[in-house]
Amino acid sequence: MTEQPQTTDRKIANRLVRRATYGVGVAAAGATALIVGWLGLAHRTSTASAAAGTTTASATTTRVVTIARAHTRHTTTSSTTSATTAAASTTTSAASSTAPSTASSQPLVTSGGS
Amino acid sequence: MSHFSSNAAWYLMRATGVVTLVLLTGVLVLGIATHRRWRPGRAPRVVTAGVHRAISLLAVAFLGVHVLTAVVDPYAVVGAAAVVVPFVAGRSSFAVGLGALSLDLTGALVVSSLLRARVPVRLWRGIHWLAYLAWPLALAHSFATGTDASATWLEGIGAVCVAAVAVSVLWRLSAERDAKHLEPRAATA
Repeated sequence: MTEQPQTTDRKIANRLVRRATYGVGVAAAGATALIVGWLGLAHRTSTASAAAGTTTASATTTRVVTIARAHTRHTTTSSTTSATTAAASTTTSAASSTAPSTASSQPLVTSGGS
Repeated sequence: MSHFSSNAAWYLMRATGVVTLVLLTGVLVLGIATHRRWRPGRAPRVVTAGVHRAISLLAVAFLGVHVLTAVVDPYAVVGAAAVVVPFVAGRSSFAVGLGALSLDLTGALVVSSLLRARVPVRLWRGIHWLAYLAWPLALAHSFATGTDASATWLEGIGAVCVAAVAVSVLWRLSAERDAKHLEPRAATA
């Protein structure tokens, strides 16, 4: 008499265990697939960002080079101007003084000292 | 190995690692629930123990995939020996060693449980206590070696796992305390 309810309980228990295990298994597999997909997507996005970063970097480099070139040009122009000014100054000093400048690095001292 | 498949192995290793940690947490919580004779709703009590056993095997299956992908993945560089022998891995030997220790303990748990009928109860129970050591080792392994260790999502999952285990352990300890409180009453009654 008591065998029948126990068997039914056992059947119910087994069914519940199977259902729970199936649910957890599907959830675990789904979570794994989700994480794999997410990691892949994140990797692809970061790769794309890195590529975009390279473009930006190359653009920046171009800009830096342009600025550097402009700076060089400016510096060169300034140097030329300075050299011209210095030459003019030396000429002026030489013209106003009887002693010519001996040290090009210290034209004013030489001219001032005289 | 092609670029795609090596990446796939790497992603699968990371994903199965996280899922295994969650499953092991569930196994530990269900083990404590079984000990406390908890049952879901009006379901027979044996359901809790049955789900505990089934999810343990599921966790072992995911752990197997995690270990296999770690060995196969050329990026991880985990040798076959380092999987089971702790602290011999070439790279991140301590972190990988924690995982190896956890794997060994989990293996002992599973084997002793499968052979429960042939193993003395005291020995089985003693080995089963190792679960309380295997879980924190797995957690430490996840956060010591994982690429996603500093990721917010993994920290969130880790926090939930820690909270679940902490509550379960407190639940179990409260049961022990209640049992001790009841003992003198039973003696006097």
